[in-house]
Amino acid sequence: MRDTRRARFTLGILLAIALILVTVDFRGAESSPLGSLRSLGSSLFGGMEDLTTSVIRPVTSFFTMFTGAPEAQDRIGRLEAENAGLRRQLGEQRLSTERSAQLNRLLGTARLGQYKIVAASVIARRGVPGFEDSVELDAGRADGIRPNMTVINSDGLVGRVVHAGANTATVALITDSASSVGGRLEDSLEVGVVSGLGKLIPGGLFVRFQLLDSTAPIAEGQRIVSFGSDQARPYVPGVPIGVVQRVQETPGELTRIAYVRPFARISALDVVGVVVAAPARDPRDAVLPKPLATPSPSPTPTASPDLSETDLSEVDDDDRPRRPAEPDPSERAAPARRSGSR
Amino acid sequence: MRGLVISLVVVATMVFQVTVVNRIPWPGGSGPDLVLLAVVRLALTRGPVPGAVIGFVIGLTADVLPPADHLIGEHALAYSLIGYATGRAGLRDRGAVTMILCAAGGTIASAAIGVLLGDERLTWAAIGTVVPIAVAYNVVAGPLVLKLGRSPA
Repeated sequence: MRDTRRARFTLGILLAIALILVTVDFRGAESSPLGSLRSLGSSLFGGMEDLTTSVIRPVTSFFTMFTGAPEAQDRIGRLEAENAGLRRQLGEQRLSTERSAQLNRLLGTARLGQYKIVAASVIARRGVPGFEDSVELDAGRADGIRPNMTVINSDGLVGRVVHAGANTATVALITDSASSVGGRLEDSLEVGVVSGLGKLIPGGLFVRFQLLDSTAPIAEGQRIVSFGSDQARPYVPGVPIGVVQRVQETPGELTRIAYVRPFARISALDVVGVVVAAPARDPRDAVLPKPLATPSPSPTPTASPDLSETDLSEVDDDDRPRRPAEPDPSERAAPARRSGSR
Repeated sequence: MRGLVISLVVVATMVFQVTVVNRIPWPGGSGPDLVLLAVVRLALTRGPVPGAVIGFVIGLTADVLPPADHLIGEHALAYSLIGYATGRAGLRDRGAVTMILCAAGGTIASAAIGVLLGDERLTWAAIGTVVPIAVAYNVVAGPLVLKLGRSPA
């Protein structure tokens, strides 16, 4: 009996301390007095994580290749070709070539958009995907990384830096449901918000794109680039985000929702770049991959013009003013409009 | 001496969790939580008071272990409760069944505490889809951890 009372007392004390910590951390926000505790943790464990990752990187990449396959069924063809190529390059050599190729592509992307980047590797990952989704990089303040910088890889937007330690940095991914990024459709310049889903839906990792103008046309296969934040922090403009995979009809609501497959393979991140200086001019769509080389798994290009056209004709029927930035120029739009007026 | 070995093993487990386990794309979207299982395993044979203290210490370490983007104290709160409850359960039975029940309950409890503390990423809807998978992985991994932990702990 006495023992139980003592146990409850101990538990009560511990819970009280934990709640006080939560409160202090919450009230303090950025200038939290617990920040020093956090940076101690990051310098102490960051080095250990770095070491562990460098030792077991071959094992991890093996597992990534192994278990990633069933998820990406539509990519099996490409993976098979890739595997054949990989099998040719043997042993340890293989991994370093792959990483240097990733780095090369990343540098190419950065030059295309005139971003100034610091390259880094992912050394640790936290959390249940969809909830808290963050990774740790092996570069920090010493390399010029500060909080609220954009993180990209060779394919597209990855996330933003939330904490920067001495030699490591924490990145919140775009699939984190607390993150939201301004996005823009590539041709119509329509603006929306990209955010994490907070849940898994069949068919892989998706993010949600909320189009602010519900009358604006959006179709499968359209691509999204980042809109850019004020002072280019936390997001620089013009970074490719993803391809629209599915448009959800939301009749009567102020916004439209589409599900977007990110260009960057968020589940298998390795070499990434932190943008330490934004481009002088918005690169617009310049960084988007060429249409033929789009990594999107065949979003049936014939279906997309139809979808956008039906939306257009609806806009025509209503007496709404025409949008200044008409999305689909001349060649596709013209015949459909003629048939509509007949 | 044994305490030192155990704490080293725990720290290694936590680093292993973020560097290896979380980076494997598990089918279903989430994998086993070895840190939670370590708390349950250690508390099981030690009773409620040590269980709560162990849970608190491991939880606080998990709060500052990078990459962390949540409030410090969230895991400390959850894990001390889990440690206490597991310690109580361990007084009656220390077998695999208790281990499995505590692992499952702990997974649900730590998600629920996140919601109650107002973590904006956690919603009840999200918990409905992801937590069952996490519970399944922890239930499978639980007895393995119990077996592995038998010799040093």
